[in-house]
Amino acid sequence: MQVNSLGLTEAQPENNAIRIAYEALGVTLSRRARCRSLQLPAWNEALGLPRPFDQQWALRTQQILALESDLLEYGDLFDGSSVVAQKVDELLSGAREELEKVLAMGGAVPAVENAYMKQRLVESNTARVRAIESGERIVVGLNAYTEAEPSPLDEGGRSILRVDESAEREQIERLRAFRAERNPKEVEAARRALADAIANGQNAMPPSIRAAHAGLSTGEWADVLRERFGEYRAPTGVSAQPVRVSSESAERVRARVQDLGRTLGRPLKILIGKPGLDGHSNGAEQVAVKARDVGMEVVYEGIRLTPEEIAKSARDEGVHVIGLSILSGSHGVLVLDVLHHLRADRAAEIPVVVGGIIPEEDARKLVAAGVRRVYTPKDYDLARIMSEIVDVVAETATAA
Amino acid sequence: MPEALNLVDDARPAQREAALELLDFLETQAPFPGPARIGLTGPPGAGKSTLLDALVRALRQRGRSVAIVAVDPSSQRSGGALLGDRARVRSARADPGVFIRSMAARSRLGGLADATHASVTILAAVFDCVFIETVGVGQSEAEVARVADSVAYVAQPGAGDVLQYMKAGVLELPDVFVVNKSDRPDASQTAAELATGLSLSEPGAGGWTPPVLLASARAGTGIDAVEAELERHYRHILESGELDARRRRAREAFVIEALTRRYGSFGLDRVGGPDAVAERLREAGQSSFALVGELSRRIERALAAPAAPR
Ligand SMILES: Nc1nc2c(ncn2[C@@H]2O[C@H](COP(=O)(O)OP(=O)(O)OP(=O)(O)O)[C@@H](O)[C@H]2O)c(=O)[nH]1
Ligand SMILES: [Mg+2]
Repeated sequence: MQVNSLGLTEAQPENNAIRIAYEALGVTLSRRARCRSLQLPAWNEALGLPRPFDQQWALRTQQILALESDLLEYGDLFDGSSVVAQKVDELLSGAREELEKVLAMGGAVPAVENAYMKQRLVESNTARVRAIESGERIVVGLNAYTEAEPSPLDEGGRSILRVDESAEREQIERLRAFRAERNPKEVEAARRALADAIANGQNAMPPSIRAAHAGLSTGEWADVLRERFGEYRAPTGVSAQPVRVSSESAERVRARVQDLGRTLGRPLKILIGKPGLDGHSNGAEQVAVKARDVGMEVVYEGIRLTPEEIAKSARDEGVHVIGLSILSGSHGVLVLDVLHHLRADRAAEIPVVVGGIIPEEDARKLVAAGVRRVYTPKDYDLARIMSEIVDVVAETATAA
Repeated sequence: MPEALNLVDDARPAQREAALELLDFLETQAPFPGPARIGLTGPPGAGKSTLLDALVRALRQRGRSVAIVAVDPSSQRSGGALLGDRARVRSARADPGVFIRSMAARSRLGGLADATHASVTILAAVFDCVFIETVGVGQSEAEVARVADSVAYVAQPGAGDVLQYMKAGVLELPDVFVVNKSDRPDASQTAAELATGLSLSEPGAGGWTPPVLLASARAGTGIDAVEAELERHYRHILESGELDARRRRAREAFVIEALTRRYGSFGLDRVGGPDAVAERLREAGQSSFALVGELSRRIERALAAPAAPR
C-alpha cells in the first residue's frame, strides 16, 4: 500500500509529517482491512526529491506505529460498528456500479484504451482542485490558516535531495565506452535478426537474448521495436471533459482571453507540454482543462516528450505561449533544453512558463534564463495562473 | 511555414490583406495536380489519428513528406478547445518531414476550421501529401469533401452503428471506408454491414465504387491497403477529370462561404450570388482568394451605397 502524496503541500511543508501519520493510521487501524505492506511518502515530496534523512523519517513514522503502539495486539476494532458497516456498503455498491460500467465496455483493457479510466481520474482530480480553489475543501496552510512562522526545517529551500548533474554525464560516458567495446558486426546482425523476427511475427525472445549477448543496449533494442510498432501514447483523458459552470474569476479571465484574441488576430493558443520521464500528469491535465475553460485553444500532447519535440510542436502549432510541467526534479536541464531548442527553431519569442516542484533557488535561476513565470504547488489558484498567462502573452505581443 | 499558417488565421485587416496576397500567389502558381489532399473523418475515437500515425510512418519510409491539419471541436460554452490529435501522431516526433497543425473548429458546426482551405493551400505548396482530420458526426463529411480530393471515412466496430451512418447520410460522400480496430472481434461484421449499406445506396458518380477496408492502426495491419486504395482513388479522379472538378468546387465553396459569413446571403446576392462566383472562377487566371478580396470590396461598396428607391 502506498499512501499517496497528492495531498502533500508545499506551503507549511512540516504539516505533511502529520498528514502522513494520520493517513498511515487510516490504512492500518482495521485488522481485517489492514494493508500488507506500507510505503509512506516523505514530508518534503511537494518540495522536491527526498533525501535519505527524509526517507528515514517516513520509515520511522510507521515503525513507531507498529512497535510503540499496541495496535497489532487487537482484533478488528471496527467489528460491530454500524457507521463503518454503512461506509463499507457504500464503497461496495459504488465499486460494483463502476465494475458494471467497465464490464459493459468489454473489461478493463478496453476501458483503458477508450480513455474511460483516465477520464475518470482527471475528472475526480478536477473536482478536487476546484473544491480547493473555491475554499469548499480546506487544506490547512494552503487555503486556510496560511499565516506561518518562519520554518527552521526549510533551510532556504535547500531541504531536498540535489542530484549531481555530473551523474548523467558519467552514465553517458560509461555507455559510450561499453558500446565502443562491442563487435559492431555482431551488433548489427543481432539488430537485423530482431527486426526480421518482429516483422514476420515470430517469437522475439530468442533474437532479443542474442541481441543482449551482442551488447545491444536497452535503448537500441527498444528502438528496433519502435520502428516497427510506433510508440504507445497513453490517453490524455482531458478531451472529453465538460466545461464546468464557471466561477466569477474564471469568467473575468475568459473575457480577457477573448479581448486579447482580438488584439492578436486569432484566439490565444497555448501548448501544454510535459518534458522528461516523469509520468505525473495531474498538474498538466488540470492546467489544460482550465485553459480550455477560460477560452484558450490548448494543444496538449501528454507525457514524456523531449525538449526538441516540444519546441517543434510549439513552432508548428503557432502557439502564443508554452506551459511546461515538470515534477521529476530535472527542471533545470529540461527547461534550459527547451529554451535552447526554441532558439534553434527560431521561435525564441514564444514565452515559456513552468510549473512543478521547483525550489525557490531554482525558480530564480529559471527566471534568469528567460522563463517568464514559475509556479509551484502552493499556487493552487488556477484562475490566477491563467490570468497571469494572459499577462505574459499580452506583454510579449506589445514588446514585439 | 508556421508563420504563414498563423497569418492566414489572423483576422486583423492588414494581416488579412497580406494573407490574401500570399494565398493568391500560391493558388495561381500551384502546379496541377500537386500533392493529394486526403480527408479523414469519422466518429470520435474511431482511431483517425492513430491510423494517420500508421499512414505517416509508411509514407515516411518511402521518403514522402507529410502535412496534417487536425481539426477538433471548440467548446460552445467557453470558446476554448482541447486539441488532442497531435498526441496520437507519434511518428511526427522531431521529424522535419512531418508537419502537424491542430486547429479548433471555433463557431463552425461542420467541424472544419475557418482557415482550413487556406492552410491546405499553403501546406500543399510544400509537402508531398496533405491530410485533413475532422471529427465526423454527419455534417463534416460534406465539409471535408470540399477541401479534400479524397475522403476516407474511419469507422470502428460496433453493432448498429451502420444504421446510424445511413440515417445521417454519412455513406454518400466518402471515397474509401476503413473499419479500424480490426483487432476486435466484431470488425468484420461491421465491415460487412457497411458494404451492404453501401450497395443499397446509389452507385457513386464517375464509376468509382468505394471500397470497404479492414485495418488495425494499432497492430499495423491493413495500412498498406488503405494507402493503396487512396492512391488508386487519386489516380482515378485525376484521369477522369473529377479531381479538377473537385478542386474547382472547393474553391467555389470557399469563396461563397467566406462571403456569406461576412456579409450574409444578402451581401452575396449583391454581386450576383453563388452562380456568379462559379462563373468567375471558371474564367481562368484568378484565384479564389483574389476573388474573395475583390468581391468583398464590391459588396462593401454596394452595401454602403444608398438603397435604390423602390
Ligand atoms: N483496439 C484498437 N484500438 C485502437 C486502434 N486504433 C486506435 N485505437 C484506440 O482508439 C482510441 C482513439 O484513437 P484516436 O486515434 O485518438 O481516435 P480519433 O478518431 O482520432 O479520435 P478523435 O480525434 O478524438 O475523434 C485510442 O485509445 C487508440 O489507442 C486499433 O486499431 N485497435
Ligand atoms: Mg483524432
